[in-house]
Amino acid sequence: MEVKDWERIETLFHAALRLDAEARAAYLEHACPGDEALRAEVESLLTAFRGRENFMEEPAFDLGLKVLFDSKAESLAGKVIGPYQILDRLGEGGMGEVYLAEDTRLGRKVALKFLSSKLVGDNWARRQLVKEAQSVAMLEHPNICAIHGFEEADGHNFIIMQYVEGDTLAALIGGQPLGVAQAISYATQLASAVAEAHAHGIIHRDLKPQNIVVTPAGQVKVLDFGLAKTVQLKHEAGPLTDDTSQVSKTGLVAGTVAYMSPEQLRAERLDFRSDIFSLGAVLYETVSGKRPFARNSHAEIISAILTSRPPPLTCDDGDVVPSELSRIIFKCLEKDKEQRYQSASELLYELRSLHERGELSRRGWRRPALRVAALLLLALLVAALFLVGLRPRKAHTLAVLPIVNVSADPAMDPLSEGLTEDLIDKLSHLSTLRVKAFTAVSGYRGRQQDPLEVGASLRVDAVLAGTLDQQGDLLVLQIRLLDMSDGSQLWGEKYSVQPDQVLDLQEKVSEGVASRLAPEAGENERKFLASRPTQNHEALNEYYQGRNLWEKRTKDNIHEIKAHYERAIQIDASFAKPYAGLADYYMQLNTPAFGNMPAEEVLKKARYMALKAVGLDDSLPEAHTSLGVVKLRFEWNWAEAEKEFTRAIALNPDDAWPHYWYSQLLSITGRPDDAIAQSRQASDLAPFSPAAKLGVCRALYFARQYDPAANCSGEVLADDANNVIAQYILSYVYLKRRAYPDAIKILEKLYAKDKSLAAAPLGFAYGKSGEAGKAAEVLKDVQEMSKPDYSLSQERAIIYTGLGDRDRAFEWLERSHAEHFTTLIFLTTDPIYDDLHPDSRFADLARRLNLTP
Amino acid sequence: MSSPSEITDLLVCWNNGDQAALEMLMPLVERELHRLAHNYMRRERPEHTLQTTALINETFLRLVDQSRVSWQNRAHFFGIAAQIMRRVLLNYARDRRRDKRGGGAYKVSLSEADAVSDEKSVELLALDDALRRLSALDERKGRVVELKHFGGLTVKEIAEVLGVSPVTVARDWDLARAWLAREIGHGS
Repeated sequence: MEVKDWERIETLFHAALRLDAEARAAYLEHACPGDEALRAEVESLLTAFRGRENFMEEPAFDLGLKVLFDSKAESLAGKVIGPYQILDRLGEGGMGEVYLAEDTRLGRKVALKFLSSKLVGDNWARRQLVKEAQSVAMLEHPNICAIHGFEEADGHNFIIMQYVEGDTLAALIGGQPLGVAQAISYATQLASAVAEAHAHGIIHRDLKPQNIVVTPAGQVKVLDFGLAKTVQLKHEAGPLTDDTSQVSKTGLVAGTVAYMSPEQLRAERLDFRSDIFSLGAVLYETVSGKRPFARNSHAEIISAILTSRPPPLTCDDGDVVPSELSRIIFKCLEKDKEQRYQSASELLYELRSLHERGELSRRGWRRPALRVAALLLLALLVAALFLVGLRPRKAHTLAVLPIVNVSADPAMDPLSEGLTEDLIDKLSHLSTLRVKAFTAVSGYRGRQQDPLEVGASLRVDAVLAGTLDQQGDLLVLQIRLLDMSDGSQLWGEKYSVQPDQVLDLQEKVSEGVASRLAPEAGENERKFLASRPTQNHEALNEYYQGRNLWEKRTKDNIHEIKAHYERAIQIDASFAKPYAGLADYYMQLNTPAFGNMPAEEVLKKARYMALKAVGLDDSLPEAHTSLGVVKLRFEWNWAEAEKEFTRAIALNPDDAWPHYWYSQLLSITGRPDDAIAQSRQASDLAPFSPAAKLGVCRALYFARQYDPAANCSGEVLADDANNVIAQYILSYVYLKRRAYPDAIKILEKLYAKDKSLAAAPLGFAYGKSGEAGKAAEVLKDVQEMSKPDYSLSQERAIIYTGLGDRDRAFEWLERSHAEHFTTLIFLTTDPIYDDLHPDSRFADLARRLNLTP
Repeated sequence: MSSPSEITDLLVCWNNGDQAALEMLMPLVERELHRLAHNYMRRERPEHTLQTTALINETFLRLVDQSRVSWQNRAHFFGIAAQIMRRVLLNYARDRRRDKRGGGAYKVSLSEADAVSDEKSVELLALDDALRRLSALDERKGRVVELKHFGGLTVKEIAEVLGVSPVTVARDWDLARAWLAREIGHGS
């Protein structure tokens, strides 16, 4: 362009800019007669400018500073940091730079992720990262990029990760579908990784193709498990909120929104099901090459994730997307998390069976759709015949309903219940069958209900229902296995056996179910069906009696439980279950409701029993749970408790109680979101248990989510207005809301029923509302209830906190510590102690409890 | 760190037309900006808006011996800071794009910085390209954009740096933006 032209353009542009649209046209017409090119140039500039008066007004300087802030002044390549020889820079992520290094001690290559000073700048974030890294370090799985640890050396903070060679899934996809067979293989591996992490209570929160690496051998590795959370939390508190972070105002990490679940976008608390959604989005893209919610702007993507259904899955290279795969992916992508897979293992199961079917008819997927439509139809027909006629029907989920004692003798109850539980236990070990946990069906105990109705409400594919009767000397067990799809009976049998043949009975029934529902079960699985926890039916019977009482334990019958378990052990000293039962029994004796055995003594006894149970049968989930509770409540050893709980969950993900206890551990170790997620899992798995539901309420209260905690307690009270624990939790919520009269109203009633339970919050409430006299009366009552080795010290500490008497509060907390009071583990978690936080004695005490003040 | 006198020498030399001095000056200023960025980010709370001018001024005061420089030197110094920022962002955006394309298995993205760069880096690359062409066409307008957008300077400050009237800067800025918007395709 000529300089002269440019100057003319400039003049015309500024002159026209001041005019309105109509005048502009007239002006340009007049100003450049015959010079269409000039006029077009000026008009295009005016058009480009229209409505974009703010274009570039926001300086990029701030962004530049941020980049400067994030970047290391120079590359670390070639340097030696601690035992690591830094080899090469691999890349950079939001957390910091990643380098390839050699661990000179072990002679292996590792990837070091250096954390930017933004992340580790303060101790809080550092601690979080160390914690996260530690919990992820426990994951060992072929599809999870292992984290070896977190180190600090020469002023650098870094996470040591397994070095994986390969491309990210994002790079592999690159807008092109990967093909159905490939996609299913990746999907299965991904689901397997996620299921493993979930079993350890770890949510990924940021699953996306960029976080997934595929090795040249086709092995999938998921990176950065659990690390997103710290970054996310850090961002909520961090200094960087600029126009470019789309949703930072709501506290959301503004990573790639395309894979976020609706609840994540709404900045709600996340549970495992959020990962399922993200996984669905990744799978969708793997199959089709397109993102499920592809839009032009972040705002539109967010809106699409919240409201629109993704377009049907297609892949344009001639592959046919099997409708089953489509169904699986869309189920992951349901907006309502209740409608998605409720666990990654469920998803994994469906993917696996799809994968296996794919192996059978692999070429079917590869064949262009047009070529042999007729053949395909034939194949379908054959396949249908094959599935229906020749092979047993395939059920994925089974509910074993409580076996109903139809004899007139209530002494048969323990046996019918024990049988039910053991059958569930055995069948749970079949990898292709998902069996509802006992806690999920126990609510149907003692009720004569239509098994099909129960099955429908439990949403299972098959139901096993049975009755137990006594005829003369013989036990008569009748069982029916029902197909929920049409109500037909898949199998039925009537056994009449001598009482000492109960063990054979278990074996026969579980074999019968397995041969119908899991015919492909391998040798090891079959072996387990035949395995016996004890060889002695009398020992088993004693155990069943104890178990049965445990479910309905009271202060009065609790010692009978001990007697049964001890007799079981006397008969068969190698029977692991009663040892675990005894561990639980002893621990119960250190609670206000059941007894006042000193903590030291309980610790010794319970630990012995739990270790014994684990020693006898390391694969017994409840043994690990019991040991975990010992470590949590009595040893205050968080790391080991966590190990036991995650082990128990890995052994049987469907058992509610390890989730329940694990939730408490997560609460006190500063992971409130995970704690809530675990408590919800427990409650989902034990829908009839108010205790499990109350675990959710408590986790919410500890997380200081007072409104949800109040609602949660309200839900329990709606079912059972007299539930004292629900009232108790609700009163604590009122205390934190400073609604003292409301709290006092509940607590005075509660106090009349159970002094030791309500004393602390009631005294606290009196103290806070200036009624020192009444608080003193409560203290007097507490004094009277106390015994030399059981001084209700923590109760007194709470009351003195309410009275504002910190010295006394700490005096009693110290006493509580000396007595090793178990609920002291909530010192830093329970908001009731907030007033004490500023005091240096608080931090000191917390540290002695292995808690982070 | 280089002494203020050394940096001042370089600045004066460059002002007198020595291009090599600029080459040596740039990394020194960049390092100082880098250091200051760290201090600022750590200090500032989110609700604070960053005072760009204050930051560059602080850099200038720290690096340069005030008794030996004129206001023109200061203005040039602001120009350098803007240029550095432009380059920093360009390199950053290029890195991003390269990492996206291949290899970067560990280029994991956890912060918003990455989400930004997806779109922003494309935008930055396009802008840089367009800005080069604009500078070839009209150097002063290129400078205005650089100082305003990458340096964060006000119209008045730019007028001071370039030795023209604020009205001229404002006019340059409008036309430059219209031109860039059209070139990048933003206006459509």
